[in-house]
Amino acid sequence: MIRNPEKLLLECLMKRQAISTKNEVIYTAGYTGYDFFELSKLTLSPETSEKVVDMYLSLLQEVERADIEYNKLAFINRTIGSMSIASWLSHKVGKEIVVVDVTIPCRCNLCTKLRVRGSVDPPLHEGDKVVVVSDVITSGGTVLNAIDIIEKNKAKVVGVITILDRQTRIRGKTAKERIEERGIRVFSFITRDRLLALGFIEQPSMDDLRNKDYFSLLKKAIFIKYGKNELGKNLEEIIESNKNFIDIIVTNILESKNIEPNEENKRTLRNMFLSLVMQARCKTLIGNRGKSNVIEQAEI
Amino acid sequence: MLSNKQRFDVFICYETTTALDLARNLKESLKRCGIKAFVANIDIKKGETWEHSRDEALKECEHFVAIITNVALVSDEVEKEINYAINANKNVVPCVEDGVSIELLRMKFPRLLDYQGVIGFKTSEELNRSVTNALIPHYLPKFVSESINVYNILTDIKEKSNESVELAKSMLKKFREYIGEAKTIEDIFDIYNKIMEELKR
Repeated sequence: MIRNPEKLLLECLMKRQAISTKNEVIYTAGYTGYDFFELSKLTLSPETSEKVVDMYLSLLQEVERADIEYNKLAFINRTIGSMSIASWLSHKVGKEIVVVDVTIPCRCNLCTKLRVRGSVDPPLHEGDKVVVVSDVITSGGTVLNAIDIIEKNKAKVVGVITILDRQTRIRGKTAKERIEERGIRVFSFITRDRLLALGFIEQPSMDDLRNKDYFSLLKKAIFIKYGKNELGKNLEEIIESNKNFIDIIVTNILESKNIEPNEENKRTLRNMFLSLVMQARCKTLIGNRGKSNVIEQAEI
Repeated sequence: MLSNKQRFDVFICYETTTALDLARNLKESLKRCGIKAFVANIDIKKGETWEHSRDEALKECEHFVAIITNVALVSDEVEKEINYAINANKNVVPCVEDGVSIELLRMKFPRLLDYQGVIGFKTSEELNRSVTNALIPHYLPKFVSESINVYNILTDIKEKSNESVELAKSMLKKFREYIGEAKTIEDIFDIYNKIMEELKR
């Protein structure tokens, strides 16, 4: 079990900038957004690939702690990030792997069989319990597609593990909620909420700023890490007093602009303040090191 | 918002019979922002000598808020405290209650009105809001460094980076300056995006 996911991810990001912020990107799922998490940058690098394996191992430990038994791991051919460490992970946990091809559009019986590959033939049997491994889940479409293919091959999907849960809401539901509706637990190493609250070079959208509360997210992160111990309490107090402090600035700005100081507008502006601070911290940590890495490589 | 070594940030000067309630409310309001204020009637504990405790607090506090009511104009204690604060180059914020004669005030404390303050406040809420707004720019750097510290503790980062504190401070300063031009929350979002773009470069 990895005790500090943020630290590990940050270390990886310092070495390889896997999260890039562009003006607008189109995800595999077809939706657009402002952040792009490219796990393959971490798994294809000898410096960070082992760390990603550790992240997945930690998630599989969580699966076991939840009393979920499994005998196979399923990788999706579209997700290069996780695919590239498939055999390494399989070796570490001693489980067979299967690769699910979600790119074949035909749904006939023959194609359904062709869509799953493994070391034995047929790769899946009735009674197989499978954990699906993905790098990122956005809308959950790709993973749900893979689940359908596995279940058509008579095996049962018992869990999904992913590094980043982007928590995108489609018709009011996140991917996690959509997958868990089918009785399949989802385990994520980190969520987009936590990435945003800690400023991991993610640019929040207007929707994030309007609807999320970064101060609450930070408090939640403290609770997850420290529980109710003294340090946790102190940090919570600091956050609470800073929240009040920023609230006054924010109310003052809104009143001076004749913008209604309702909760939504206050939260939006409050989030902007906090995310600017956090992004500045990340910029100095990751940005500069990123640059020096490039310089070192160029010199070599 | 404060280091543990320093007990108080703001000294609230007032005349007890007319302004103790105002001072008490202001202390509470500042406390909610993490700013610790000294109010003699509340903060001088039993067994402590009044003058010694007050002088210590006066020395320690960087900011001095003078609540001027009509009776304050004839109070020797208020006069002593105001003169000390002005001579000690404290950040003085005069707060004059509605109805107090400005002419009399100028005669009694000629230098007090040189400082930017709150003139003619009518309610305790109005006083609280104005004083907090006046003090906030001084506490913005503390907000930045505390936020960064929380982040460091959560992510187990041991190294201290003044660079990121400075960067965050300059970004927030710029943000507040640019906001002056904005008219809607969407305009503010555009400004925020521009600053984010600068951060990425």
